[in-house]
Amino acid sequence: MNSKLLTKIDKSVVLLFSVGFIYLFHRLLFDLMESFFNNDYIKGFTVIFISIILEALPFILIGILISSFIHIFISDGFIAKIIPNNKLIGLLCASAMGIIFPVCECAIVPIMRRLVSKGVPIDIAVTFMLAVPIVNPVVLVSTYYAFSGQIEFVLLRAILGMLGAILVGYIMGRINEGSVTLQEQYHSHGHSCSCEEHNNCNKTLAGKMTDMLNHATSELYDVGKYLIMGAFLATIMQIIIPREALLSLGGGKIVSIIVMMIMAFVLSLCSEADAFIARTFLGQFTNGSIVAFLILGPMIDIKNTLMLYSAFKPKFIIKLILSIFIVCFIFALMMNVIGI
Amino acid sequence: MKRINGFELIWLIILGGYGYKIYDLIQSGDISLYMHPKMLIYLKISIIVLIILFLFQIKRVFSSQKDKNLRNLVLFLIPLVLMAGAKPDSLSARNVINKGVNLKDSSLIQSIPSNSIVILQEDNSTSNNGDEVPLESLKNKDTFMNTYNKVFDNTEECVGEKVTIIGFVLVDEELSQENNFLLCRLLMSCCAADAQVIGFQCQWEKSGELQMNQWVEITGEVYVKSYYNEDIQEEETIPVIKILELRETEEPEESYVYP
Repeated sequence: MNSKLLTKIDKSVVLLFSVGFIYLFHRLLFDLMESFFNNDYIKGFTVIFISIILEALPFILIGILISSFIHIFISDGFIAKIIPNNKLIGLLCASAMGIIFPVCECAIVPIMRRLVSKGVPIDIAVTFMLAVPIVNPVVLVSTYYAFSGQIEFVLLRAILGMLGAILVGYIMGRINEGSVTLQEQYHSHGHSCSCEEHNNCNKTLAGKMTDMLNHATSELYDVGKYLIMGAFLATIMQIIIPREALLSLGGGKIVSIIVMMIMAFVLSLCSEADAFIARTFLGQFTNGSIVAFLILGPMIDIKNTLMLYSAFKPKFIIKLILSIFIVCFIFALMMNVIGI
Repeated sequence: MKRINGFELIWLIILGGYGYKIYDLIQSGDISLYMHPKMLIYLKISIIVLIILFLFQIKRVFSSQKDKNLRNLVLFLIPLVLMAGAKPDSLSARNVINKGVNLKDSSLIQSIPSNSIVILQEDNSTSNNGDEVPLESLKNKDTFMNTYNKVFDNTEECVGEKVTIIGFVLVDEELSQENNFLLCRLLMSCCAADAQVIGFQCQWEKSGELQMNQWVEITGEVYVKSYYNEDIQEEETIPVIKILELRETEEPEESYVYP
C-alpha cells in the first residue's frame, strides 16, 4: 500500500515537473522564434514562398482528383480506344487539349503521369503536358493584356508553343522507344485497381469513391513534397537574382536567349502571370529571347521538374529538359536571326 | 483500442492545419498580401477538398502501419509554421522585390493597358490647403492604375493634366540629385511571387525630406522629359509629375494594385 502511494506521488511529481519544463521550454522557444520570425528576410521569404504554394495548391488538388479519377474509373482499354492511330493527328489533338482543359502547369503533372501509367504513348502524353499550360484561353488572354495588345506576342506564344510541344513530344517518343519511363510504383497492371493500398477490387460506386480518395491523399503526399521543395528553390532564386544586372545581357542574339530561358526555368512563375514579367524585359532583351521565356516557362521549371521526379525516372526527366531547352532555343534563335 | 498509425495521424494534422490556416488567412484578410483577389475562389475550393480529405483521413489513422518515412512530413510542416509564425506585411514583399528593381531605369516602370474606364474627373477633389481630408481623396487609392494607364498610354495628350494619387516613395541617389523621386505601388498579377514595382517619376523641390517607403498622397501636373537610356542606347521620353501638393498618408487597405 505504502509503495503504491509512493509511486503515485512519484508519477505526479514527474508529471508536474515535465509539464513545467515543457511550458518553460515552450516560452523560450516562442521567444526565440519571435526574433526569428520578425527578421525581414524571413518575412520577405515567407511572402513569396507561401504565395507560390497557395497559388499552386488549388490546381494540384484538382490535378490529383482528376488523376485519381482516371486511375479508378477509366480503364487502360478505354484509353487505347480513344487514342488516334495516326501519330500526327494524335499529337495535334494533344496539343489542342488546353483549349478545353485550361489547367495550370501544376495540375498537369499528376494527370500526365497517370495517363502514361494507363498506356498513353509517351509522345502524346508529353505533348499534352507541354501544350496545355500555354495553349489555353486564360494564358493567352493574360498575355494579350500584358503586352498592351501587341498581338504578335500572343500569336507567337500560341503557335510556337504548340509547335514546340509537338516537336518535343515527338522527340521524346522516339528517344524513349521501348524504354520504361515510369518509376516502379506507377505501373498499372492491366486493370484499374492494382495499387498496393488494397487487395480487393471494389466494384460498388461507394467502394470506388473510397479507392479514389485513398489514391488522392497518397498522391497529394507524393506531389506535395516536391511542390514544397520546388517552391522553396524558386523563392530563393527570386530573391537572389538581381534583375538590373541581367539587363546588360539583353542585347546579344544568343546570350539573351540563354539568359531568358534560364530565368524562366528558375523563377517558376505561373503561366498566367509570367507574361507581365516578360513584358518588363521588352526593349532590353531580344524578341526571340522573350518568346523563349514565354514558351519555356509553362513547359518546364524547377517546380515541375521536382514534381515529375516523383514519378518518372531521372534519365527521362533530363532528356525532357534538354529537348525543351534545345527546341525553344532553336525557335528563338530563328526569330532573332530573321529579325522578328 | 486499435493501434494508431503515426504517419497517418500526422498527415491528418497536416491536412487539417492547411485547411484551417487558409481559412484563417481569408477571414482575416491577410490573404490579399499573398494572392490576387481573383484566386480567392480557387482557395475556397481547396479548403473544401482539404476538408473532404481530412474527414476521410480520420479512418485511415487506424489503418495498419506501413513503411513510410516520417521525416518527409517535416517538409509539409515548414510552410505551416511559416504561415502561423511569420506575420509579413506589405513592406516585406517590397524589401525582397526592391533588390531586383533598377530605380533609375524607367523602362522597368512600364505601362499596362487599361481595361477600365478612366475616371480622372474624380481628381478635382484637390483641396487647396491639404489640411482637410475630403471624402473623395479616400477613393483616390483606386485611381492609381487608371492614372498610370492613361498617362503612360497617351503621354503626349496628358501633358498639363492634374492628377492625384497615393503611393509609396522610393528614393534613389541619382534621381534625388535632380530633386526627383519615385512614387510607386506594387502591382500583383497573380500572386506575390510575380509582384512588380510600378510608378511615376516625380519632381519636387523638397524631395530631400522624403524617406524610403513613406506613403504619400500627391497632386501634381504631368509633363514629359527625355533622357538617354543606356541599356537600349536610345533617347526616351517619359512622363514625370511635377508635384503641386504632397501630404503624408497611411498605407491604404488595399496596398497592391492589379492590372
